[in-house]
Amino acid sequence: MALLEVEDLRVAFGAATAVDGVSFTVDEGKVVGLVGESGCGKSVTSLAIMGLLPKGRPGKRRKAEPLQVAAAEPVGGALKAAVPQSVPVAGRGRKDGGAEVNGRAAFDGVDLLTLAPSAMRRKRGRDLAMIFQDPLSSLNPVVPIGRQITEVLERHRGLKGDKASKEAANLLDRVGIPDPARRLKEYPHQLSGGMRQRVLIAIAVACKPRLLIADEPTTALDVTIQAQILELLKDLVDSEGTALLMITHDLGVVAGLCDEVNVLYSGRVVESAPVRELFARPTHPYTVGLLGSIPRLDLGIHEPLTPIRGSIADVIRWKDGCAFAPRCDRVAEPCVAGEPALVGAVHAHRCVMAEEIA
Amino acid sequence: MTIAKIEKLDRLVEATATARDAQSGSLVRQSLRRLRRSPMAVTGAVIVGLFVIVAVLGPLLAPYDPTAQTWGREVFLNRAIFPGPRAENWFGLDHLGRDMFSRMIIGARQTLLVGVVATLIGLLAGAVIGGVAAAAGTFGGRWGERVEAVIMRTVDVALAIPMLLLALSVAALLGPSLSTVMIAVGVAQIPIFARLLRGSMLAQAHSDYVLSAIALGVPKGRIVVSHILPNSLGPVIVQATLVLATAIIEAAALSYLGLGNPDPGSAEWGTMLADAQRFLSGAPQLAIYPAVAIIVTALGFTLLGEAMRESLDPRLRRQE
Amino acid sequence: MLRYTVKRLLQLSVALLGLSLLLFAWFKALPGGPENRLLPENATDQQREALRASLGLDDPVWVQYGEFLGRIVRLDFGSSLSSGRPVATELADRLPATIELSLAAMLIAVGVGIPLGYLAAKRRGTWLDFTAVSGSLLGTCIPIFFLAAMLKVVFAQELGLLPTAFRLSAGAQYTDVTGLRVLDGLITGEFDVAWDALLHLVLPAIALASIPLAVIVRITRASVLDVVGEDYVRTADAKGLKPATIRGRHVMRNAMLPIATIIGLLLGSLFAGAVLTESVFAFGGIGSFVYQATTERDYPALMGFILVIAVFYVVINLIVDLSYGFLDPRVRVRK
Repeated sequence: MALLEVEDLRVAFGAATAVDGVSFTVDEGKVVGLVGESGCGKSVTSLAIMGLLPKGRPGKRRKAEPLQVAAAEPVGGALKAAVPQSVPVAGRGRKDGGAEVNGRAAFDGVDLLTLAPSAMRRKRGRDLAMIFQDPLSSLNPVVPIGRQITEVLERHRGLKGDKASKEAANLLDRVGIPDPARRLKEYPHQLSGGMRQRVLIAIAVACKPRLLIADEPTTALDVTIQAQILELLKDLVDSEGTALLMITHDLGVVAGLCDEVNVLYSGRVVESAPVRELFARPTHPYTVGLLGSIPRLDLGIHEPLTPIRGSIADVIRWKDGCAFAPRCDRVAEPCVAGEPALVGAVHAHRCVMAEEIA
Repeated sequence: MTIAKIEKLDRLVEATATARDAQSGSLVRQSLRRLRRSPMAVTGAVIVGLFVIVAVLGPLLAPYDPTAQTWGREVFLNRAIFPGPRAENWFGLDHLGRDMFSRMIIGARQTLLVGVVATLIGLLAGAVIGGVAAAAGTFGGRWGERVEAVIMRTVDVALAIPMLLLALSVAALLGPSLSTVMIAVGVAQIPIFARLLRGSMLAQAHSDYVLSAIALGVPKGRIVVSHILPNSLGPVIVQATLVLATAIIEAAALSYLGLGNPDPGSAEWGTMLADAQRFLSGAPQLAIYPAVAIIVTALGFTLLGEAMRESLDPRLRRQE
Repeated sequence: MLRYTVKRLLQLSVALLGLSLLLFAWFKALPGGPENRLLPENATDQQREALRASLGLDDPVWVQYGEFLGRIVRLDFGSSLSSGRPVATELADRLPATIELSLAAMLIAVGVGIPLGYLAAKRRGTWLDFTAVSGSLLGTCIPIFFLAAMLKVVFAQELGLLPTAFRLSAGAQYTDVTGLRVLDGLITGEFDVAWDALLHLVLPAIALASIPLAVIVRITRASVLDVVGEDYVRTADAKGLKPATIRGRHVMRNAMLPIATIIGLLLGSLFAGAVLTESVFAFGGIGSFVYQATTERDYPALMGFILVIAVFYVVINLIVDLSYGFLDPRVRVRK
């Protein structure tokens, strides 16, 4: 049985849908990537699994933001979509107007989405932990980092006082921070960006969770630091047998770290495959497009990159057809003739034209 | 109490500085649109509008001469018994037998006058001081920086004195009169406006469009007058609206302390409220009319000012 | 931290010096000059001369300023024109009452304001939030002396629930320790005195608390709203911490930074509000004294008052600044 089984996860903020039926699994000890542009719903997915989305106030919800849905015009090349201003993204920035979460996210057979808040709080930080994108803003500026580590140890492992401090120092040492005993007394603003991210990782692995979710853990860091942090993550995961759900827009990170990949577009998985398979035979035009947007050394200097046209705001609703259709080079009649299904088992994709293209 | 708003002042400055970097025209329009949708702003605007109309049309609306007394017939000062509301005197008579309704209506004009003049004194003097400081500090070279430092330290000292005390000391110099109240309340606002305008102008001075104007060789004086100054006015207008509320309340407090208009015939809400304190247990209505009028008017200006501030503040906007 | 403190102290002494200059200018500008204020109307020219000489009014201005400063440092503000006693003594006698009243008001404002502001933020958009926000807007718009008078009429005169004036019931025997009657009663074990003093304190303290309460509710609400949206609160949540821990260590500890600043600023303006409140309740503090001094144009008394308040205010500012350093490691600890 898979460690984490996400099934038909849907998240809506008022009338705006951020996640529109995402399904994937994470097996024990595996590293699974969740890839897509910003706004595709990958961060919301992770927050929904962690139960960290702002709770909706039934009946009291604020007016929804304009939904980024454009009417699907008849095909014939004229698949032009209006570009609305706002793209509903993560829970951050939407402080009220809570999220409506539906579907299933079974962790070890227990559905996290229906779990009582107190039971979920006992799981968070112990069984499943999360590493966030911006290490500076994710650490409390007025609390010494030592305390920010020991509070997890205290909460989930019952360690107190000196024992907790000692363990915290061990953890810092383990994530590669020199002179850990002294660092415990320091505040986040005294550390460098890479160090802060290491502290966040130390906090996340403090209770040896079975699943670690990393939401773009290297985006805010310098390139050289990025590599170190990824190395550290890989090392921790390998040695502890922790499963890792890696959320990123960076296919380079995926190639170096992941066992399996799920490509997300407009709140849905469009392609899912083992990492080698995906890079060898990308099937969905969106995946192809993502790969084409990466600068490559093995291509000639005069060969242009092939960026994906338009923006993620140019979409149609999944139930009317393929959300990627407005931006797709190979768009055809069948693409907008109703909901495209996810086909295939090991290497699954959601493109009705896949056969023709192949 | 306005001193407590300093944090807000700085935030206001910050807010408009960032907002101005975007397109200014559309920003003003956006803010206006947001204001029209805000119940706070609409309520405030309606109250302020009514108040201004009454103040302007006052003599036309008042049924009686606000100073005409009906001694001896119905009013017994020594027993503190005054006729209450009735058909011919909607709000009853005061302790000198004057029609309260007429006095309230005429009083609106005096109250508005006190509020506006006091705010203008604070605004203009504060704007000159803050403007000079900012301009000197930005363009005056080394000496200019010193001038700015001296000015701003003095402003900080003045800010350190609670406003009522500042008003008290001014009133002590000038003796009791209506202009004392206006000057006293106005002077007390000077440091606030000075600080606000300086902060606002400095934020503008370091903004990209001013830097590019400097780089293009536009004369410094012209940059200050035609770019920095007009763009710094947003927060000043907001603050002026808020200060109008405070000015009306502070003026009432000074009247209560006996520093207001010594002329017993004059109708001004603060003076009326202060006068009525003597009869509070026997005839509370005499105090309640002017008190409610002051509270509602102050609330109107506060609502309007706060709504304007919020519509300019991107940090608050993000939370909406 | 030491350098920070020293720097603050230096800035404050500059501010105080500037203030003394302002006061000196004010004193010089009094109508008719100081000597006319200090002498009876029918004083002879000889008396006038003598006073001018004794006050050093014929000396150069900077010498006069030096003298002025010297007298201030010695706490010699001259004698009150109405009572004839030294202003410093008058003020010292009345200060405890005002301190007691201000502290009580601040306790109410903080004790009610912070929880209320927190709840309003947490239940944003509910009726509770709406009530708290509109109540606090209203609170800043009520003239304090009117509120005090209404409280007195309703709760003391009409309902008879609480005493109408003074700090203790007539004829009450008390032992003076700190001058704060409630505290004194508790220290000496005279609990009936403490209770009596507390009853006398309730109405004036509530009236005086109205504005700080309103300000604290709003600032707490805004500050908490800012903080709960921060990433580190989400991190705390992701750690599975108990709600109480998140609230205390992660939300409130950060939200307190702006609240602490405001509380300090409010303490200073409370003293000004006390002038109005005390006169309504004949509370016998500095406020009543100043009310009298204002109506009787007792300039030495006014000057002494302004100076005392200003010093108080400046000292409170220092404490706030220092506590800010204590609360916020980013100020205290450099990289």
